Amino acid sequence: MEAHICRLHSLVKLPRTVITQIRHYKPRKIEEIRTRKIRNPSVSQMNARIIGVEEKREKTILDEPPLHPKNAPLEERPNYNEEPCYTYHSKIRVLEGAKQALWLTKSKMMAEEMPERLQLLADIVDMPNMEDEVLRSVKKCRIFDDPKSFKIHPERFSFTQLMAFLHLCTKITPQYPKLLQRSIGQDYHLSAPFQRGKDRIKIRGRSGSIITSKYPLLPLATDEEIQDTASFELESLHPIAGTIDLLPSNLYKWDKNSTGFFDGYPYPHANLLLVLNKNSWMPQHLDAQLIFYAFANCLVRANKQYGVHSEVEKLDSPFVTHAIGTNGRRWSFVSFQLNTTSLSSNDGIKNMVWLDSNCFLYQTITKKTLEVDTLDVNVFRKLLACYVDGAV
Amino acid sequence: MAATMWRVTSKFSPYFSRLSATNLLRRCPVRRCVTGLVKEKYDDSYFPPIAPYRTEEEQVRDKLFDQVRSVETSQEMLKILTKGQAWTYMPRSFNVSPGCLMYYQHITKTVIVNELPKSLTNNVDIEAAVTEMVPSLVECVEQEFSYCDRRNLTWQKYNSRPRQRARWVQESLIRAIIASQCGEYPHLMTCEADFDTEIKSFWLRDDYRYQINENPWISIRTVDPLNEIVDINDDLSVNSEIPICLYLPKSMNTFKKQIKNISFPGYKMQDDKLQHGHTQIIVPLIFDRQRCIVEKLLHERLNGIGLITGFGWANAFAMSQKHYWFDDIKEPMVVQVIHTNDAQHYTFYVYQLNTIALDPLSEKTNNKHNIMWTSGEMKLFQDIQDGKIIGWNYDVLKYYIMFLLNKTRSGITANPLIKKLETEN
Repeated sequence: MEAHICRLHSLVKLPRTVITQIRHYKPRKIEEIRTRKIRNPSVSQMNARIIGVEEKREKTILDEPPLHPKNAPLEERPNYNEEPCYTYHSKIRVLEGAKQALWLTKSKMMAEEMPERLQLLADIVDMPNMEDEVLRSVKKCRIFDDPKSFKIHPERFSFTQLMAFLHLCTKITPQYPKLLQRSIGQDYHLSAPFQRGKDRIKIRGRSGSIITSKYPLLPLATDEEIQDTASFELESLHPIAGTIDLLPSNLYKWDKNSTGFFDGYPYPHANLLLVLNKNSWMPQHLDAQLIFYAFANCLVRANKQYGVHSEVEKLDSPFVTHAIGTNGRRWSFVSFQLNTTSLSSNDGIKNMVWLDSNCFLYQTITKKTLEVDTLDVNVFRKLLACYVDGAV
Repeated sequence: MAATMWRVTSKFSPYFSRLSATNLLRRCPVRRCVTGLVKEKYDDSYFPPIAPYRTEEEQVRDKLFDQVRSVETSQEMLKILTKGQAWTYMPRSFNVSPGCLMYYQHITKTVIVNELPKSLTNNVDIEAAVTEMVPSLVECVEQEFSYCDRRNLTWQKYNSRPRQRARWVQESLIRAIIASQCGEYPHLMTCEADFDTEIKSFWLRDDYRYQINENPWISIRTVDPLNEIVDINDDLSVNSEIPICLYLPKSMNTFKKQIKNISFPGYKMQDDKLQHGHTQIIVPLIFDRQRCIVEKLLHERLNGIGLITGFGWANAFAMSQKHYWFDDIKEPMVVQVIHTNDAQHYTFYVYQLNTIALDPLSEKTNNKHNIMWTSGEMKLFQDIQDGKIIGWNYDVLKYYIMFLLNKTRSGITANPLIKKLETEN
């Protein structure tokens, strides 16, 4: 029987296909493979040759079990929506920077300084030996941190500088005992949905750490100043769309609104955001991130109180948060006040932003002589003012 | 051929000339007696004083001792000690091999006491602070375990989540304690906390060099040192015995490398006043509790971790104060260590450094031992059910507060460098 089959092999004639357009054309090798297949055919091929019937390779589709919803086509998934939603998260660099963030959050730039309340606080707040301790913390992070006196990476010293300043800030609690009613949440994840014009927009992700407290911050501006913002016209980004660089997607939960903490959390109010500029972004991109997340933290708390997508024209008690972004050397301070949640129209009352972006703690450092050039202690004073605000 | 011969003769020629008869006669004092000189002139001062016999090792020691004494700062001393590369054994804090504790005890010459010292635990002054602090510390732990909403984590992050969570808990606990108590305790007001530092130190033992490299999460420094727990010539330190380990270090899972030794207690000391270690909090990445329980070596390995980290940190501080194995420390140094892996299980250590003279030459005259006190492993809470923590054990929080509020010596600066700095200013 076997010998009979072997003879059959030589009798079979295969049609030659013209293979010229393939990149790696190796006719000799292809022929080798083909002959090998002829010598060692599979069982179904053998049967086909004996009977003289062509081989059928089409699959017969039977009743298969349904796919997992994760692997299903887009339109059949449970979180599918026809309208796309533009999301912003912590790894997106926005093209227009702070200008775009202002337009999307429908807010007015009040001043490129700290608000007056914080400026007054910065003058009042005092610590013993402040200049010496700030200088020592800078030297520790930039010079004394490494055993082999190599160059220290900004990812390292930005982290250590912020930790050293927070450690100094904790020592001021005997002067302001209300600071004990606070805590720091690390790596929290929030999502805040809102409608801007005709677009659906969502701010989500984890920005860094947040200082929360048992009491809310008081508003920074008076009622008259809030009413005056109705006459202010927003600066449009025409011809560029406002949603440029945001990620559009059809899979999202439109009503989901989370602060990053579950219900019953004893410190519900947001006071201060701490963002690290680890990837050495340009300052404009960091400023945009600070405005976005300060706004989102306000909006989430407002939505909890008034309901999601309830477009209130004027809030009775405006929400306030501060935000700080650092590279270790360059610091930027943002304070945000949420006056409205009706963001779909460009008219009416606007929100408020105070931005103090380019504050340099020092200019240069020379390792050999251990000198810090032009140390600016006012930067630390500003941080202290943001930290102490609300506890005075 | 002739030229080479000439060289050979010229090589030995000075010896011959020195041993020549005339020269010998000129030098020999007996000759003067023979020639009839007065005997009173034949003084002892003519000869150099007879030095005691010294071995080759002792001569090397004296040379190094004089070399270090001529130098002022500790950094210049370390330059002399770490010149070039050397073969060093590198023990790790979490050692897998059985019998590691015996080996580590032999390396660092320490005695282990399975209790915390009573001068710490029976402190009455803290109890008022403990009742204040406990509810706020409970909130810090609850925040991470039951209130924080972290979703969409990738599996890599999910794997390291218990350790990362433990680190955040330690951070918030320490910040809460310092914030509330720094008004009453001045050593907390002036302390400094270093995050995620490297700690390196080296020493000599049994003709080998040892070096450890570690990465504690938080280390707190103070201006003044901690109080000594036991006197340096106490019975515990002088009249105690430790197991002798005669095995090779290779068999104990420590291998050698040719490296340049470094001693670095978390920061470089150049005109800085905070030069004494207070407490150190370790959250290691490699610790595997379940494996230790299966092999029934949990107690041993936990003690090994506390022992080698405590010794390493204290040794690095001793070197920064210009002490080394031939120039031993005068006063004992105390350091505290806290170990956690998942914010649920805690162990507390107190380490007292009495000697660093561990090399074979100086060990002949050295009776002192280092001492470590441990609390053993403790559970902060029993379990988490439906996002709520059950079965609190407040003793752990009490120990935690007790360690941080442990007072330092007031107004004593052991380092001569600091006195210099103060006089200059």
